[in-house]
Amino acid sequence: MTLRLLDPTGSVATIERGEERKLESLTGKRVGFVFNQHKSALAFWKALERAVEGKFQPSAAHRLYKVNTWAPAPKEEVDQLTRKTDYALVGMGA
Amino acid sequence: MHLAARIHEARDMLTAVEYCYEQKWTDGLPVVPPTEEAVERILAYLQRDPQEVVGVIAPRDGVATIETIAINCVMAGCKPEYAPLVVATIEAIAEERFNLNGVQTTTHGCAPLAMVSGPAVKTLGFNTRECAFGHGCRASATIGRAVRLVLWNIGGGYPGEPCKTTQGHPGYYSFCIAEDAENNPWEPLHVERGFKAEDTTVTVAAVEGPRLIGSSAGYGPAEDVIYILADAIAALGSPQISGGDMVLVLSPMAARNLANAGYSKARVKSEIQRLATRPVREVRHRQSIVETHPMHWNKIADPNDDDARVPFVREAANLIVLVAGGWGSGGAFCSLCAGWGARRSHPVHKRVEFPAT
Repeated sequence: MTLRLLDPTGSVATIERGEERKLESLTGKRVGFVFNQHKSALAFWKALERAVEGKFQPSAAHRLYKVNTWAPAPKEEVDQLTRKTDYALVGMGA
Repeated sequence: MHLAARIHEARDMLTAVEYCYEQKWTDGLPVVPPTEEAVERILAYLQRDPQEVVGVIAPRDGVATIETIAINCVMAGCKPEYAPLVVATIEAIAEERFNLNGVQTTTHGCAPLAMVSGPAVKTLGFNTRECAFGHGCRASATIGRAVRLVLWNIGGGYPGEPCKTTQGHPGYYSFCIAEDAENNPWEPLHVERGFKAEDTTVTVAAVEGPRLIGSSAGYGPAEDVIYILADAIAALGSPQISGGDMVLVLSPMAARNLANAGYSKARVKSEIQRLATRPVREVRHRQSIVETHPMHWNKIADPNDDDARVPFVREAANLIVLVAGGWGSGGAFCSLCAGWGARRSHPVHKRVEFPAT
């Protein structure tokens, strides 16, 4: 007798994404740095920020350093950063 | 009954068991093949819309519906009447404050522990005595197992990628415990947290595996018992160095010792909070989070004062105290399930919604 089994994995939630625009260059653009402040990535992140600022000369740099390393940044803070920046680098040490 | 799940076919039961392995529908232990008939039996008991969304399960962001939870309940071996507890547990872990994505992917070894409190502990036949965390009881074994299968199948919580826990622990297979109302000298957990006595609740906390504590409550005074419990919490290698929630399961003998000495549950917590500390000179050996981090212990103790004490229980409410386990001998073994550390995951309490009879 053939058994009919139900797949236990279900569907995956999807998120509506807004229209994306491509930056022709990063030079002079407003950058956002989102960092989770994990100890393992501290030195690397500082160096990365310096390198980005040195190479692309952003017109403004905004930082969102998460107070809680292990949880998502609050949505309002992310939204605020999104409004103030042209691109963002997201870094997670773990 | 309309079901949304994709149908797979297997020619017999043994083939079906192997098919579940091939599909990666289990984490190593065999599962009950989820046939339509068995799933429909659970859905009929629940009397809820099979397509009702209960939560989104990280990191895969799989949608846990009543139907997909029922499928995983079948695979775990749950009786239909266990399913409401699994649903409540999934609702709890899907709450943002639980931070399931972090729990599932951290290098730490925490897993969701489901703690059942209330009348259903007795009516569903949970074992609250000997081996309360372990084998021998279908209710706790299969409810905990169903939760893990949801985390695995719907949440995609596979070791290595994306789950980075370096050690894990046996509770990753199944992690459920029930409170012993009869041997609890204090108010039960669900009442303490604001639910009615007649409610049954599930509390979920992301915790390490249980560490046994010989409290010696059968031999020594309450003050010594409290001292030993506090000492177990204040371990340098524990994530509790940055605070956060934890679960302390007191054996009936330990709880009785403390209650007979006049301790309320609140006083047990406050005394443990007072004593579970280590001096800065020792805590300094544990490199953990960056010193500038707002949760670093240097925000609550002077890092230049060797004798300053660092509390491992930041707030008494961080201690979830349950009474469960066997009476045992004078050692009165208790268990500590340390948490994941400060504010990384918060426990969630849910009332279990049973179908109308």
